[in-house]
Amino acid sequence: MENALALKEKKNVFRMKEAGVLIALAILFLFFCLTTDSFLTAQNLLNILRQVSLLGIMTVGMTMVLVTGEFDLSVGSTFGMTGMLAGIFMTSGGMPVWLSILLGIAIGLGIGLVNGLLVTYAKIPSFIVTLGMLNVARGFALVVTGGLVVAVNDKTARDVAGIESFFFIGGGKVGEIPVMIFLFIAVIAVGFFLLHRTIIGFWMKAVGGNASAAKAVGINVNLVKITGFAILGALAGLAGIINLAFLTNVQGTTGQGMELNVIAATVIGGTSVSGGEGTILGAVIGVLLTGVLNNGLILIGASSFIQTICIGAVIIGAVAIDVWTRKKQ
Amino acid sequence: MRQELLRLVGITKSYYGVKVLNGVNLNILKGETVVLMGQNGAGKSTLIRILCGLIQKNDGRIYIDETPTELSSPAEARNVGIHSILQEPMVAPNLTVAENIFLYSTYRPSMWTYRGKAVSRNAELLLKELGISMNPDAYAKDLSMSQQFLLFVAMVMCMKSKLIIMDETTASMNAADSACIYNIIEAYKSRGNAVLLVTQDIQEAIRVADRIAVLRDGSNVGMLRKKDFSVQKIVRMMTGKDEGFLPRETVRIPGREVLRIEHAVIRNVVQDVSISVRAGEVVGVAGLVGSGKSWIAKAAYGLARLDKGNVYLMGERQRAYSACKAVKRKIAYIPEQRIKGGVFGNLTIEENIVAAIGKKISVAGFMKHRMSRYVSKQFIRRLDISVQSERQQVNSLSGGNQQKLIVSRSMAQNPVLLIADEPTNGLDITTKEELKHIFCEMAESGVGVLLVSSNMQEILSVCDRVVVMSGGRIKCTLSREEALCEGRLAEELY
Repeated sequence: MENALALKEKKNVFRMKEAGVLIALAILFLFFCLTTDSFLTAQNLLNILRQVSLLGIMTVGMTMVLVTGEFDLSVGSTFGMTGMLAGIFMTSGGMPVWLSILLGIAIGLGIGLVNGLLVTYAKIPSFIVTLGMLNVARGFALVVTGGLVVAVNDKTARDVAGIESFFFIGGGKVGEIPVMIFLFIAVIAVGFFLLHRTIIGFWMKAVGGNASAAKAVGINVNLVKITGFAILGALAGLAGIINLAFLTNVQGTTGQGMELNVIAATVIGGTSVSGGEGTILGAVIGVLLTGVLNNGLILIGASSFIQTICIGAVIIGAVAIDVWTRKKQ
Repeated sequence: MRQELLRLVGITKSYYGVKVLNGVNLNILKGETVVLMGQNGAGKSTLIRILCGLIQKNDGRIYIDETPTELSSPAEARNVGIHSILQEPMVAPNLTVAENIFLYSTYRPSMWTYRGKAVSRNAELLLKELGISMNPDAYAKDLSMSQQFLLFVAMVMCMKSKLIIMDETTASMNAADSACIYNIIEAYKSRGNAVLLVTQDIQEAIRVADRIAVLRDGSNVGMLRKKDFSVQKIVRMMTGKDEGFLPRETVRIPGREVLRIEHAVIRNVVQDVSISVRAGEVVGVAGLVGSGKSWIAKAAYGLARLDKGNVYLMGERQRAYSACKAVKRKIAYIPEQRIKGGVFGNLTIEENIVAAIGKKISVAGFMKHRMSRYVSKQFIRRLDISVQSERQQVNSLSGGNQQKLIVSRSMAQNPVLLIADEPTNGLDITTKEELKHIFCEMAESGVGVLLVSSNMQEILSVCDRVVVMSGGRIKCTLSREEALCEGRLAEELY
């Protein structure tokens, strides 16, 4: 027993909570390295990172919401709506880029706040609130554009201040590395500090672990939950805007179904749906796992239908491992 | 000599190395009612849960009709004819009374179809036979708690059984409904069956029992026959004759008032209660289950909203009072339910100890891990919590150590007022004594303590004043001297 604990103290990789997914990721990685020639190239690996960075930014936020014991289905719609509104602000609104970005993120934050307020003060289950918000935000995006595409390019936003920097965010590179990846890493770093190094993160874990005990030690449970929703909303807004900068055009249906991918990556990363358990490191590994799986399956020529099946199986497998290990404890 | 229905020999059960039952013997004859009594934590519930097959004994033997029997699951207990009515009525709230009875009864008017009218008629007959007046077509969720219990008793009566176990079934019932239960018990045992009843109410026990078995700290203290029943004798057996009256060396001089509750009303549970606690004194709130004593603790800590009345802290009236505000005012709280309301199972020991002192362990929101480790180590040593590492998960600790963790959490707050709700419930005797000492120490260092407890010994050994509650009201307030006076507290309490 003493020995086992000593090992734990030293942060043995195999005793970490994330060990299961990490091993799965390593096995997949090796498998694709061996079966394809094109997987293990700098270009492809950077590609994977770029592909997952938008998903990853939201997963960081989703981890926090799940840790507080709540749930958010509205991120896909928030993602679509904020990107679209930021685009409209720039093109039809003629606002400078920095203001449009800021407003976009603020709108995401606002949606998160509304979710949080409805869950905590109106005491509606988060599943229902965010399911409703999913539809409301999606519908709003469709109404605003009338179902048309919003494009931000040299034609529509020629005179907008700072438009070059906007395109740089989406498509630019520093050396060989896309800017998007840096943004993803920045969000990971901030998320890590917030959840694991600040008192807010500590409160999130406490609230998710035992809400009534958290109340009994004087933690403002509602405020903590709302903070989680607001952070996720803002991050979804950020991701939506980066998406617009990358694609240069979005439509009312952008980001549809994305919420499920975000939740899948979060859960694969070992975050418990019942609250209290979850790490940013796990979230990152979960996102990478889905990215590697998708990319690798394309390279070995599997159809997109097969990919869907694989992702589904991985979700169930990951949670099964989580449940089993918990039972053993 | 009547035949023996049940015999328990040397039943032993321990949790995490703490013995909660230590060689308990009990026998029940056919056609009698045995009442099981004991203070909180005496092991009554554990014994019952073993008889229901909900948990497994570590040692000992169970004989039913003189054949050795293993009760390894609830289904097995039911198969041998043991049915139980525990503290929750197990009725389906969205079904009607008749439909609930139909679930348990063998009455089937038709093979394939459900015939509502026939089922309803059948239920009506059954209820009449049992002497329960209840509309068979009413929904169970519309019944009062008391009536839901009656319904559940009727449901259990539908099944074939030899022994029915009732765990404080009548605690939340009104007089008429409990009388109904007593009649049902009489009729049931006259058919050669037996009832094992657990209750805290001595008057009730004397009224219905043929014999009374008393447990204390997980062991038999004795078995009383009908001719020996007396309130005094039972109280003495439950509490242990001269135990627990700690001689107090130091004299406490109470300081200024830290908490005052004035004319508190919480709908249905608390009626016009006023209590005041001064710095450096321990005020006890004694009462049985359902007396509303827990609500006083919750109200004092801002966890329950008062419908009427006010809470004053340090003489200042609190508006929109909440637990967050209470913590800011340096008030600590030990909740009644350790697992449900106290411990963070997902956090480490260290994190559990510092959970209430966010300000002290963070600078500008950033955690100072060194500080929290220092604080937790200090308390682990001071309260002698047996842990391997402060990074250990809380779930691996015993109940006693978990409770010490919660106590150290509130001590870390450096409180001016400690509100403790049944803090020694379900703990072993050594830990109980340790915690009592801690509360006394805290009071002597100038902390006001509000101790809510149904354990008389505990109240008598640490409190300066005792407020006895019953039915949501204050029944009387006793000074320490009055309470210690031979059996006075017991008299008021039971």
